[in-house]
Amino acid sequence: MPRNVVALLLLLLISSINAWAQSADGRQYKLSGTVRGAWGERLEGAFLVIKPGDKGVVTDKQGRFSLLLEKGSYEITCQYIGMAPLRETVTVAGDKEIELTLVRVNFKLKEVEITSRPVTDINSTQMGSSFIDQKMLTRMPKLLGEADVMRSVSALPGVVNAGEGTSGFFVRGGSADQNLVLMDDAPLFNANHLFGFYSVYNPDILKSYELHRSGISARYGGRISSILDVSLRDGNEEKMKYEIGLSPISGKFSMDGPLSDKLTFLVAFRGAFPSYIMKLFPNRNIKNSSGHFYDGNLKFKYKLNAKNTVSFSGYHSADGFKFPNDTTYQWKNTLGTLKWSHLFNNNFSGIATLVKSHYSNKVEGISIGEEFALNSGIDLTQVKLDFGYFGLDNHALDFGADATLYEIQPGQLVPYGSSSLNRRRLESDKGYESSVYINDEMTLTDRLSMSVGLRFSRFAKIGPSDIYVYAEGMPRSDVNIIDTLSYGTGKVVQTYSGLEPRASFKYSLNGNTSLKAGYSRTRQYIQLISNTAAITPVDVWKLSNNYIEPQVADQLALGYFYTSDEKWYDFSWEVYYKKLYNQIDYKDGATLLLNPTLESDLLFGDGNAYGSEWMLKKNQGRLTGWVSLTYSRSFRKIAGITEAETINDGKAYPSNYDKPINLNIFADYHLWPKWKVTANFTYTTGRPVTVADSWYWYQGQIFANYSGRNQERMPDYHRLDVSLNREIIKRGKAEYSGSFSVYNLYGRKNAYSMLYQHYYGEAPGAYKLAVIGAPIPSINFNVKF
Amino acid sequence: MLRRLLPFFLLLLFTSCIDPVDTDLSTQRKHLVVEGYFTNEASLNFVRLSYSQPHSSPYNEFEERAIVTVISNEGELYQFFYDKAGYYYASTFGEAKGVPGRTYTLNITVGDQLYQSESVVMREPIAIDSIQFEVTEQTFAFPGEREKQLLPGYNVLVDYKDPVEEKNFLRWSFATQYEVRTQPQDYIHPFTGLPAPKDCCTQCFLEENLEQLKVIDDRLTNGKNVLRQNVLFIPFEKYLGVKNKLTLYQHSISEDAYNFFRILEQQKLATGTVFDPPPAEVKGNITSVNNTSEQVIGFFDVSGVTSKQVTILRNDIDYPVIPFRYPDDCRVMKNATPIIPEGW
Repeated sequence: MPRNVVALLLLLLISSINAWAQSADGRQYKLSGTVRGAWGERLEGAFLVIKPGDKGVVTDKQGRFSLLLEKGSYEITCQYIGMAPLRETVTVAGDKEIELTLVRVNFKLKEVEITSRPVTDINSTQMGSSFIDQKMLTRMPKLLGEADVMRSVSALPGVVNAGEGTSGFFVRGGSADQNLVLMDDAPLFNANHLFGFYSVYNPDILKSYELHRSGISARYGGRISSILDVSLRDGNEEKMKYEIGLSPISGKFSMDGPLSDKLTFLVAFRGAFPSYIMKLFPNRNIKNSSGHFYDGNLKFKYKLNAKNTVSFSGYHSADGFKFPNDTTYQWKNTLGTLKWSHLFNNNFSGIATLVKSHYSNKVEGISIGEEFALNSGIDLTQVKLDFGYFGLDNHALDFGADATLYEIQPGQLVPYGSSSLNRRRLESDKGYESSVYINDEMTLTDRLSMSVGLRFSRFAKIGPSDIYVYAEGMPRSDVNIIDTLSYGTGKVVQTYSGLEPRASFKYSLNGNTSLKAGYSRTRQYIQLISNTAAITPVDVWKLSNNYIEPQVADQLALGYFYTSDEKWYDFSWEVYYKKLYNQIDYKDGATLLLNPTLESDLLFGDGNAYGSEWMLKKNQGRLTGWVSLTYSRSFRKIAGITEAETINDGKAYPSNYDKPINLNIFADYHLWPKWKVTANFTYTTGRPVTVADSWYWYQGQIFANYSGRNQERMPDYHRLDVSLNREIIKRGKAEYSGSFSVYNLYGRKNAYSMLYQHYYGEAPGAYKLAVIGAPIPSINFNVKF
Repeated sequence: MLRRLLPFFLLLLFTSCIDPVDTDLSTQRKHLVVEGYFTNEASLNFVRLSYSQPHSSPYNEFEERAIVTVISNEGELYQFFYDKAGYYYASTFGEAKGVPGRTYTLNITVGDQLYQSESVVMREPIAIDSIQFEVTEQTFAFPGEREKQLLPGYNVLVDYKDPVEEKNFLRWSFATQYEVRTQPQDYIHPFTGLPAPKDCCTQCFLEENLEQLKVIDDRLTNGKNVLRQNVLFIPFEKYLGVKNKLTLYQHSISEDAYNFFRILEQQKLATGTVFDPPPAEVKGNITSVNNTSEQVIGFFDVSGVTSKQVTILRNDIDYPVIPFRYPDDCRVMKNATPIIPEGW
């Protein structure tokens, strides 16, 4: 993980400084160790400062650190978010292994608590990343009583959301499917619950998440815009703990603790039941609709010995929604990650991971004469090997390999009852993706360090598959099919492969500021075929094939980073330019569902995006928070060989994700010792829309005449959320906390979409649809014991 | 089928709302709109010419001085003449009809501009096997009403056999002839507000073409006996108060026509929700010969058609239909006549 990289980099930075400052006779000894929390969990990303010498080091994924020191006595200060800083004196007279245990911060210390990951940013080569831990997240204002990862992601620089009631997000001009969304290493294909008002992440068991937008490490691949890496916490090693949370339409329960000296577990359940509130609505369609979801997590961690740990993280969710007497939707996610971590020696560690992710979707129609069940889904199996080696001076090596099998069921229509529909089943879409990578973090001087990586990925689309051959020079359409090539089961239909170079550099101007630059090429072999703005349950995933070439992105980013003395303020400024290849758009009125000649409804072209992101963060004091401002543009250019395969005459047009200005302000104010008030303000330019230039009558009805694509914009979006949080109160063994929040405080009717309507007696006009047109208060309550 | 589930919208449960927005009116334009139908049934053939209007203009504008002809690949030529409200009809009524298998082209001359459609083959019609009715409630707006209201009525369902050997595309149109009973004796004078009973007339007959944008393809039903395909909703109020003779026309249309009507239908069903596809340009099959960059809206739809007529009597409806209230002389109703039609 990048934090790993940071640790390794810092380690090397330290050792190089050390080498440079070394006295003539000084022999160096290795000081290594592990940092743990009070419950025995290894802490990744804990920061250590060693005095004299002011050397810093960050622990890796195993909670381990290692550095070279001369003989002598040192004072080590160890910090971790939410934990009290620990000071210890160590005497080095030879290679030494130490163990540091941090305890949770108490309330009085909270006022000077560091809200977000401190101090490491300016010294790492990493850029374009944001880190949020659970504490931070639960303080952000809630919608429907639940803190949500996906919603908080869209408050980060360079990220815009698809609109209320959707959990898709767009990063630096890319589409929603260009984000790799992970839960404990397992990729998710639909991270929504209840159409995006909740996401799959249970905030009570969240450890932290990290979003990478640029300078993506060679370790990550498979998507071209961003990586959202979400980790859930493990069971604690101390004692059984229970947590219950309630909000008006949802309930949660979790418990975790040790089963033996070596084995810990965590289990969590969550469910939402908005149906009884829907019954209160006067609208018939709402009253007769119903919806629900539930999900559960199960985690085990088994410490075989000091060098081997085996862990398992599993997740299952089920969602359902029913429209009045017509259609039901159901979708299910099942994820599992089995991980074996092995420490070969103090310099060499490895992790083997087996990942399974299964997403299935069922739409059922119950109207007489049209009864059907439509099943679709995607199944992913992945094996990964990751190694970290930091035995070489000034180098930290990360390398590994992975292989992934995708199997997509694009749609199977099963009619029943009196249905006049034909049974129909599209061939399953199968493919292998494999890759190898190596990344080296090098410390060249005390000021200059770099991280250089290379990833090679290969994709093979395999049969059974029918590939349609279209007449040359004609628009791809089922009437222009001249031949069909059939490939048998397991036969390779098409392969793609390519190198993905990654590089980033850091140059420290002084102890407070640094300049960084990064370049990355990313490749993606799977895409979401969706003609709507958001990820919805009727969308299908599609692998690259003879016609759908892999998406590729090249990104160049530059940044300036500043941290004030005592780490009170952070400031960063990043600019980027991105070129996107083989981007998909849709023909007018494209048919996407159950379409065997899907490529004939798709259009292909290139895109580019650029932008500038500023972020000012205050880390300490009574008032903490950040202001982030982004200016960015995103364009697509679709110029096919025929007019029917061209958009806007082949000229560049703003993509659906082009929202030039995006301002986010998050403030967290410590009101009284146990009360905090937080506020979140968002402003974005409206997204591009296709508008009509006139209206006309046809078949006795009025229509809008659309021409071209995305030539106008929707009204601007802005919203203020506030939240009052009661911090933990202890009563006997139990700890209580709660919060009251209002989403969309001033009740702005933000436009989700624009449409033309005609009411008798008025000229046909443009209207906007607002999903949330009023302030939405919510309350939630948590008990831990 | 699946399209129907899209407009429903979960998110309405959260106080969603629709409000007007301002659009930039400087880019608004005017285009010729052509609505052309040519079938093997002369009474269904007409061309309507109008102009699309900027959103600032609430008025209709028709083209009244065009020369409109339909030419077949066999050399037949039919001329259409202006009637009113943009409608052009063939003069020799009863003769201007097509033959399945032949190809037809529409030509329109407006001033010195020539507009021409693509040539379209008239496809073989598909017979309607039977018509059924089903009591239901649906939102419906009578002409002139601002808001749709929920009304009881009949869903009109058709059965037909889809031919297996080819791809088929269908569209439906309807003609209805019905009797209404009104209450002229309950007339209230609009100025005085006092009862001013009228002596005549309580019984009238109306004719109307009901239009419903509905097209389907046989992508999912090829070669099947298609049962209970829902094609029309007709409210009990007004239409089924006494007696109604309903004629259903089943049109076998081209694939391009199907795509054209489908995108129109999609636009009509759009509710602006997460499930909506983005609005799309509706590409027709008519172009300007002199100026190929000019956008012409509309389609010349050539179809083979079959029809079936059913008579619905109020007494046969198994539903407590509330009598139609219209406290005035029935002749005041648009297109109403007190003369009993032939064969009624």
